[in-house]
Amino acid sequence: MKELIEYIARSLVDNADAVRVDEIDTPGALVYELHVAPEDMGRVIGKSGRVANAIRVLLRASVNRTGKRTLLEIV
Amino acid sequence: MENAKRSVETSGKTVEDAIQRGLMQLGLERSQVQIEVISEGRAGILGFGAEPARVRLTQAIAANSAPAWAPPSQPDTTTPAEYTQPPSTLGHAPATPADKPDMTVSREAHGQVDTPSVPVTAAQAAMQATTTQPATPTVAARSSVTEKTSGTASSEGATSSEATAIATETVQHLVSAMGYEAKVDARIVSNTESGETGDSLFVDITGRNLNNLIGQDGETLGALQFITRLIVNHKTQQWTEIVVDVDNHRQRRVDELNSLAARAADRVVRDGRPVSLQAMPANERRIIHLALRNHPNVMTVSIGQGDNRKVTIRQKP
Repeated sequence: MKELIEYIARSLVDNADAVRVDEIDTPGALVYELHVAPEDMGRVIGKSGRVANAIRVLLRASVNRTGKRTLLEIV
Repeated sequence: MENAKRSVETSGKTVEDAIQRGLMQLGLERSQVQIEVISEGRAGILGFGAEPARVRLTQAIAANSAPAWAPPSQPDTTTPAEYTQPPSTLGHAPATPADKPDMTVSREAHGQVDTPSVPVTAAQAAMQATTTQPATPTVAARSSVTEKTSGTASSEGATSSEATAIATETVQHLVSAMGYEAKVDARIVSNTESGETGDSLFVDITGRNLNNLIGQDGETLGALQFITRLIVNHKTQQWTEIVVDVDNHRQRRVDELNSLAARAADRVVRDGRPVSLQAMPANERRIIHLALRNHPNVMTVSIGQGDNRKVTIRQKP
């Protein structure tokens, strides 16, 4: 799932080298922190968060062996 | 009036599945029954919370079987909706399949993948000539992606076949990053005949156990299509209409909506009261509106705001 976020983010931004995803395993959920260059923030969030929400939908549908919820945060 | 007819209620994994079972039980063709979806069912997570899809099939009244009014060009009706005029109506021009060229075309485009039934336009042919892989008619161009089509992405305007390759690779990448194994094919369909401009790129995902890629009410499929569009259009630096589909789900949904429209219209004609359908997204409402556009006795309007917008079917004044 980390790879999924990285792939989508790298494909959408101008500065692909600045993309970084951290996976944090908390008791209730898997939290993914997506870091992108400041000027690319809009690309991965989208109008009214459309892109970010679409990524969340795909995360939820991904094969998830832990059975935990997934959270995507863009920082 | 339902009681006198043969009717059966069945369930199955999917609506389609349930319909097939019902048809077997009745020993009838699809065109000879009215299909009522009781529950669309839910896939559930890891087998929990799964609900079967339920449908009721009722043998159609007339000997020739079609509902009193069926949307034109329903693919599997044996007689393409020869319009039987309900006794109560004044004379109106019957709707014929020819009235809806755009629907017919999109169906063909969707259904027959390998037949270049849609003519290749001159512009497309010209574009084709400039690409590195000549000779394949654009419509029939399908790229299978087991081997990776590598960086054909050029920063300035990509040709259709490049867009096809990029789209296939993108979707393949997304789907496998989500943990699914599936086959991805892309093809270009020319829209010139339907009066819309430009070409559409259809990306088909096929495989086993892909219901999660469709999601509740197609939510996941919508997100997949949205992200694919963004990525491909970003990489090719041009705008291409891209439609992503899983196991022909979109086509099945169109068929479902068409029969829903026909049944609801029948009910409006019979009861004289307006019928509101469930809230639907814009593209699905459009299908309903189109399906009943030439109906002699009913009209359709969309009522409500945002996610709660629904089609209401009522009698023509």
